[in-house]
Amino acid sequence: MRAEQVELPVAVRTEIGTAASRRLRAQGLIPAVVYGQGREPVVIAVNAATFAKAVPATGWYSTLISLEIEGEGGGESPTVMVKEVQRDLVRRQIISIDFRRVSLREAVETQVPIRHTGESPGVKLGGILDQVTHEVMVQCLPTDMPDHLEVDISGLEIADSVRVRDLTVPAGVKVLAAEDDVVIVIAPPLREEEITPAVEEEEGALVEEVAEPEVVGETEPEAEERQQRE
Amino acid sequence: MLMPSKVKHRKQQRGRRKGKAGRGDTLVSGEYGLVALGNCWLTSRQIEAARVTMTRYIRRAGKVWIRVFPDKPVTAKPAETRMGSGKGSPEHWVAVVKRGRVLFEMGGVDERTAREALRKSAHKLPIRTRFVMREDVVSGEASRA
Repeated sequence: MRAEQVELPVAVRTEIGTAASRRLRAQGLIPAVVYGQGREPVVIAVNAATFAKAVPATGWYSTLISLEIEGEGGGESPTVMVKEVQRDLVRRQIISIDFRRVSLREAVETQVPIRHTGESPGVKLGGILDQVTHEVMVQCLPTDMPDHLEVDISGLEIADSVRVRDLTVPAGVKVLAAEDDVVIVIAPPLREEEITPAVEEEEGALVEEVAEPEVVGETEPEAEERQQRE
Repeated sequence: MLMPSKVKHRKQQRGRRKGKAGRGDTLVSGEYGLVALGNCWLTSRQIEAARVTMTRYIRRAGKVWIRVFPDKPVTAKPAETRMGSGKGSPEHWVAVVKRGRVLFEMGGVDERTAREALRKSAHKLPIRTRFVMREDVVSGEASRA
């Protein structure tokens, strides 16, 4: 499915720096920058709620955005794609966005998410659906950019896999990942020893572990001597 | 339980546990994860207890990834020993965890099962944690011009 082009109103920022960016975030705005195509970078502020509504998290890097830059030095509507989104590790809020200008006539490279459809008979028999690759790098014109690639898993038995070469890719889109890379595998169910604790419980208490790892460079007599000293 | 197979030095200094995770803060393999909201030393027993809890809950349906490894030895002196005579002997192994670190990942199960399995395993840990999903933790540079 081709990604839609969305419109995003933004305002030119007059203040830059850490303190000014913090003030913006307190008002529900995200500090951002637009660059690329040999033009001067423009520092902007994006409304966090508007951005979340216009660009879903799964399609950050594959959505074509038409920015409507308002304010002093603005007045233009460049076509951009998200280059990088920085998030706070703990609060998960977006703290900064980089937009890069794109030409509709030049191919771009970006990550596109992979989603699976259908029900696998292997999973019904107890197999584990393991999606090894969640995103894949593609090259295409911005207007041909798919919002995601689909994998049909309805024919997969246990130990079957789908590789990059098996992906159904829209016309005009080139996948840059290695053809042999595994996308999805139906793994066999867990063995019993993977479920039980590594150290067996004995009368309610865990057995003390006594083994010590080998020390690099220590000979056997040295290790024995040390143990005797202790 | 998890511990290194080979070490360069038997004992380590304690170090600091300030700040946020500098790496290991995004989901890599699974669709769901448990993120640390505090800083701590996570012992190999706590990691194992949490792993067993989640694998028992999901039974054999899903896959679990442990994203922390206890590679730091913690020493202790025997009980009723006078002070002095040097540092004690290695007693257990810990992983230094800072807030924002993904501790466990899970895949191959539905959201409800993953949420409950990770909630139960979070009770085995000494810090507050948060359940995250893949769309929640997309971050970093994903494209190049």
